[in-house]
This record gives sequence, C-alpha cells and structure tokens, in this order.
Amino acid sequence: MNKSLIRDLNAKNVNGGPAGSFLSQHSEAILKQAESMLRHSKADIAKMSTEDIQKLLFEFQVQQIELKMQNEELNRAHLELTASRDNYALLYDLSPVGYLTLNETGIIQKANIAASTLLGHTKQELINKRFGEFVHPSDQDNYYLFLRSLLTLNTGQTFNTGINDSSRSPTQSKCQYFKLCTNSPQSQDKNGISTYVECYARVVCNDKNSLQICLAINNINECKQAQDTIARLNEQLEETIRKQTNQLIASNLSLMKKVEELRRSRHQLVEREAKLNSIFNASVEGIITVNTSDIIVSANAAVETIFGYKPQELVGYNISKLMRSSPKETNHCCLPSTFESVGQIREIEGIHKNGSIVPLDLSIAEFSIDNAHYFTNIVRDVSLRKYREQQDKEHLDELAHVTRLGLMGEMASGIAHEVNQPLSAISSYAQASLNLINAENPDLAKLIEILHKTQQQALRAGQIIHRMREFVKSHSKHRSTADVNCLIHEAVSLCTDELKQNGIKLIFELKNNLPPIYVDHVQIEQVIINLIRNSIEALQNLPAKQQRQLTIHSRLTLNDGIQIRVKDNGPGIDEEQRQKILTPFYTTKTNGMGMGLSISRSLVEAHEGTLNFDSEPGKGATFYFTLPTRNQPNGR
Amino acid sequence: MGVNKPTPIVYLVDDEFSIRDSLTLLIESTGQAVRSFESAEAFLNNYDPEQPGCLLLDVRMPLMTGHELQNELSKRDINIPIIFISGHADIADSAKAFRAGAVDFLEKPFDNAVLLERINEAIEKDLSFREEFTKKNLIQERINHLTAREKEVLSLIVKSHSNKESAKILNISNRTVDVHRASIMEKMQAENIAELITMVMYCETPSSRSKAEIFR
Repeated sequence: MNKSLIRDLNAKNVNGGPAGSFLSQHSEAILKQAESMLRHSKADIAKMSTEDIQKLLFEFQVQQIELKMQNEELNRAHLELTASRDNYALLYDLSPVGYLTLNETGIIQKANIAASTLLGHTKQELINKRFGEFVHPSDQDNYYLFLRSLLTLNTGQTFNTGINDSSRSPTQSKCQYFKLCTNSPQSQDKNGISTYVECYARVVCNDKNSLQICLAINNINECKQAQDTIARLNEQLEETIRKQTNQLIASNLSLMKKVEELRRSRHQLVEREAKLNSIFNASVEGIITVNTSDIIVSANAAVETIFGYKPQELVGYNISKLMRSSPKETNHCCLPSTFESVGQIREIEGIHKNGSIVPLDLSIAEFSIDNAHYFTNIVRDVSLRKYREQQDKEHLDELAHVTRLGLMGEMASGIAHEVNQPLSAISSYAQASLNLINAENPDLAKLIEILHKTQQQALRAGQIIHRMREFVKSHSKHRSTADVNCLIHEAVSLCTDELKQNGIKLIFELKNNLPPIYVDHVQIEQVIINLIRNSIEALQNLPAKQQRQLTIHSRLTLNDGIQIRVKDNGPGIDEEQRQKILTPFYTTKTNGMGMGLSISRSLVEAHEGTLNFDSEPGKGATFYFTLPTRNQPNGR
Repeated sequence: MGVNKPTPIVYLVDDEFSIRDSLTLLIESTGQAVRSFESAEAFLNNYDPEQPGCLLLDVRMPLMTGHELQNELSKRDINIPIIFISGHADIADSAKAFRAGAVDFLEKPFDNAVLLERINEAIEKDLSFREEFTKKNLIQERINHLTAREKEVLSLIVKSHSNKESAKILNISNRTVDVHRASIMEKMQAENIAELITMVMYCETPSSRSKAEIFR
C-alpha cells in the first residue's frame, strides 16, 4: 500500500510535466524518507498491534490526503508557473527593448527579437557572438571600460548577496550609450549604418554560479538625433544669444556714451545758461525782448544807462517808446523782411527818457517758445563811436589836405612848366600880332586868328591854375555827383608834364556812359594823382630803351561799383614791398613821405570803396580802386 | 659853294603844338622861313645838312629829348647852331647844352626880341661857318694834291725851317728843296711864304683838326 502510494506519488511526480523538475526533486526526498521509514519499521509492523497498525494506517491516510492536497496545489502552481513562463517568454521576445544575455566574457547567450533587429542578425546568428563586435570602433574603449567596471564592481556585491537573492542586490545597472555597427564588421553588404543605443546592464549570478550580464538595449537613434538637433539648436541659440549679448553690450556701451554725452551737454547747458544770464545782466548792450505786437517783455539793466528807463518801467510798453524809427516795419509785418532784418546791424535813433536822441546800433534775433514768436532787440549806444567817426573823418580830411599840399609842392615844378607852355605861346602870339600890325599891310584875318589862339592859351593857363587851386583848397566838404572819367582827366592834367618829362606813353581805356559816383572830387583826384605819380616813379627805374607805358582804365564792376585801374609796365612790386606798401610812412622814394598810398586807401575807404594792387615783378604793377555807385545823396 | 646861296631856315622842334604854332607865326612875321617838327625824329628825317639855318629845340620831349638830338647831330658832324627853349630853368640842363656847343638856352616864356636876336645871330654864325668851311675845304684840296715829299717840305716850312735846315733834316740837297718849294708855292696858289703859312694855319685852327690830319 505504502509502496503503491509512493509509486503513485512518484508517477504523479514524474507526470508533473515540464514544471516538474523542481517538484520531482522535492517528492524524491519524501519518497526516500518514506522508504527509509518503511525499511526501519519492517520488523516493527509485525510486532504491532492491530490498533497500532490501524492508527498508522489512519496516519497514512491522513498523510495521503494531505499529499493529494499538496499535489493539487503543486499542479496549480505548476500551471500558473507555466503560464507565467509563457508570458515571460512572449514578453521577452516581443518587448520593444532589445534584451541580450551575455556571459562574463561578453559572448551573447540569448537575445530577443528586438535585439536581433537592432543588431541586424537573427537570434541564432547572434548566439555565441561577441557583443563587442557590434560596438562601433570609436566606442570600443568605452565598451571595454563599461564591461570591466560592470564586472569588477559587481563581483563583491554578487558574492556577498548569494545566488538566491540576486534580485535583492541591485546589480550594476549603469546606463551607457554606445554607437553600434548594426551589422557585423565582417559582412560587407550591409553598409555601416550606426545606431545609437542605450544600454541598461545587470549582472546576475546564474544557478551554475557564473556571472551573466543582462543587457537591455534601447535604440536611441531618434533620441540621439533629437539630442543632436537640440544640441545644434542649442549651439545656434547660444550663438544667437552670444551675438545678441554682444549687440546688447555694444548698444549698452553706446547708450552709456550717450548718457555721458547727455550729462555733459546738460552740464554745458547749465553752464551756458549761467553764462548767458551773466551776459544778459552784465551786458553793456541793451537787450530788449518784445513779442509780435512790439510790446516789451523783458529788458536788461544796460537799458537804463542807454535810455534812462528802469527795466521794470518798460515792460508792457510798446518798443516805439524807445525808438524813433520803430523796428516795426522790419520786425514782423512780413516774414521775408524779418529774415532780412534778423542778424543785420542797422543804425537807428533811440529816444532817451529826457527826450534826447541816442544813435544806436540795432540787431534783431528771433526766437519762438511754444509757437509764440519773440524778437530780441540788442541795442548799442554808438554816440561815442559816431563822435569818433566824425573826428576820424575830419582828421582824414585834414590829413588828406596836408598831403595834398605836399603833393602839390612836389608837383609844382611840373605844373609851372605846364602853365609856362600857354604863357610862352601867348607871348609869342602877342609879338607876332604886334609884328603883323606894324607891317605895311596888316593881314587882319591872320591877326584875328592869332588873337583867338592867344585867348585859348590864356584860358588854358587859367584852367591849370584853377585846378591847382581847387586841389589845394582846405577841403571841399561836400560830396557831389561826378563822372569818373572827368575826374581821371582832371587828375591827369596835373601830371601831364611829369609824364612827358619821363617819356611815358599814356593810354586811356575809359568806359563810356558809366553811372555817376557820389564823391569828394578833390579827394578822388588826389587818389588818382597819387597812383599816377607812383607809376611814374616806378617807370623811372625802367631802362631808357624800354617804352614806358601807363594805362588808365575805368569800368563797371559786377556789383555795380566803378573800378579805376592805373597800370604801368615798370619793374613791379617785390614780395618785401608788397607787405608794407599800403602802410603809412613806407616809401621807396628818396624824398617821399610814404603817405601817398596809405592816405589814398583811407580816402577810398572813407568813400566805402576798396583800394588794392596786383603786381607781376618785372612786368609792372596795377593799382586799382573801386567806388560804389549806390552812395547817392539821399542814400545811406 | 653854289652860286646862289639858299635862304637860311629856322628849324623848330617842340612837341607842344601851341609853342610850334606861336613861334612859327612870330618868326614868319619877321620874314624868316620856318620849318617846325613835333619830334626830334621827324627833324632828323627831314633835315638837309646843306641847308643853312638854325635850330630852336625843346629840351623835354617824349622819345628823343633835345639833348639826345644835339648829340646825334654832333655824331653826324652836323654843325647847325642850336638855341634851346625850355619850360625849366634847369642849370644842369643848360650847362649840358652849352658844353655841347649850344648857342643859347632860353626859358619859356622868353623875351621874343631876345629870341629873334639869337636866331639872327645863330643864322649868321651858321653862314660864316659854312663859308669858312668851304674855304678850308679848298685849301685842304690843294694840300691833298701835293706829293708826299712836298708835304714833308711844307710841314718844315710851316715850322719856320730854312731851306738849308730842311735839306739837312730830309737829307737832300738844297737845290732839291728849292725845286719842291717852288712846286708847293705853285700848287697852293700862294704869292709868298707868309700867305702859304697863313693858309695852312687857317686850315688848322677853326676846326679841331691837327696837323697830322691836314697832311694826311
């Protein structure tokens, strides 16, 4: 019974199927125990009482039931295990993650479908291949280190934890990236496309007590690509950021500079305002600001000294209170005239508080604040200047007169000769007339002719003397209109003898119908005479063989002035003389005062003209002066 | 020279018309012939040296001055008497003029009587000079016809050497000297030795000709 039970049990155990290997070991032990018990109790059974035997049988029965129950349980467990194992196998194979089992030397023991797909070989092909073969050459070192660290670090732990409980000890599961050659290096047909993988490894001890490496491989190509893209984008981003940072730094710098400039200009503004304020208050010139209706808005302290009014007495009044010829017409009635008057200095007459007239220089500046226009009238009391100008003019007139007298002294001999000519002629004509009358048959017609000629010569002598007297008169205070060519002829008439004596050929190049000029005749003649005599002097230095030539030229200039040029073909003016020639007391003559040109220039300038010269050394010199034609009696 | 002597002409050079005109009328009123020129150049171009007369000359003129004309005439060996008329009583000018042989230097305006007198004097001077000149030329002509030996003998006679002395100096016989002397007297158309010497002396003095020139 016992034996059959055990056989049963054995049979059952043997029928345990695929899951029975563990179970069969266990039941084998029980069987052995039961057989030994049977062997030991063989003798005893005979000795036993029925009771005992029954008791034992009962026990056996109980035990049998228990065993049945255990067996059922085992069967169930076996089924569950089988199902789980199938599930695992399915899961293992179908997992998207590649699984590989390597032995200690890195040889592939097992692989799932995903792994074979990744590596590009069938499962069968992969078995017993080195995993290292698939690792990209560039990653071989990493792979080696990875493997080594995996095994060395793991050894201690593995041994300590024991085989059973290998799951409890978390073996090394370092994550490592590799680049794989997804085909074996030997197979040439599959081109070396690399796949980036991520490996999770775990070292376990198998039942044979040898180490196994479980490798989970994840294709991270996309991830890697994404990472690369991200890295690239990152770099680009960084680059962009760097650039923008640089730009920002640059703009920051320029901003800082601008801020600094602004600070400086603000400082300058403050400084300028302070300066302007001090100028406004300390100015000798009166500064009066008016609005467009000519009402005084502000005035500075200087106004009091000029007009006698305190600044506060003026604010609110019309500016016409201060100025006879109100700047009204130029101030604001129409824009163009405003522009004309702005910036120009005009001479006007101001009215002092005590009613007296103050000559003023007026300049007007325009400014506007918030669309309101204002005019700043700056007035300067020029009484002193006027007085000085008058004095200067008188001095100049006197000086001109004195130099004219001197000039006449120098010219006296020539003029006397000039007078002697008609006088001599008169004398001869008279004697001839007498002789005619004393003749037997006086030729009356001839006599009349001679007397007529005599009269002409007398007039001519008178004219020369008249001109000379005019020339030395103290001064003809009044200016009058004159024809410039007439003035030239009169001036020349006082020099003819000198020209003749020096063998100078005189050429006139006079423009006809020139507009009249408003001048002091004598002074302008004096200028012309000075220039002619200078030329004569210069021509005396010319070698005797050379033709001495003097040209007097008159013309209208572009801006309606009249220009008179006195040109000679003398030696010209050298550089040294050029600098000094117009200054007083400079002379190249042995008995000259050096005043001629200096006075001439002053006289021309007193007529608001200009005097200047050109010279080409060796070829001659041209002195010329220009007089305005606008200076009419009713003009300025 | 000629049989009918040409009437003397008063030449007038002045650049001033009124002077030329008035002086022409004045001088013509005294019956003298006048030719006036406005420049020295015009005068030089028209003057005939054979024509006797005198020159009224202005000092200051453009281009050629009175002094320059005077020099030019002297250079050309023209001896027309010059009366300067000038507006300036310049001593330097007048001294220069006189040194160069001017007849007078009158300042404008001048006394017409004095001027006319000077003109007459000048014309007289010119006429007499021309006469002397003709005479001298005649004597010179005769001297030129002497032989070389005769000229040697003549120069010794003028130096008051006797026949004997001359023969000695020239190393010839007295007789030969006598023959030469007779020939000289005949060629020179001299009545006696005194006249011969006067002729030679006359030829020497007025102009500055030296004996060497005469006996060329």
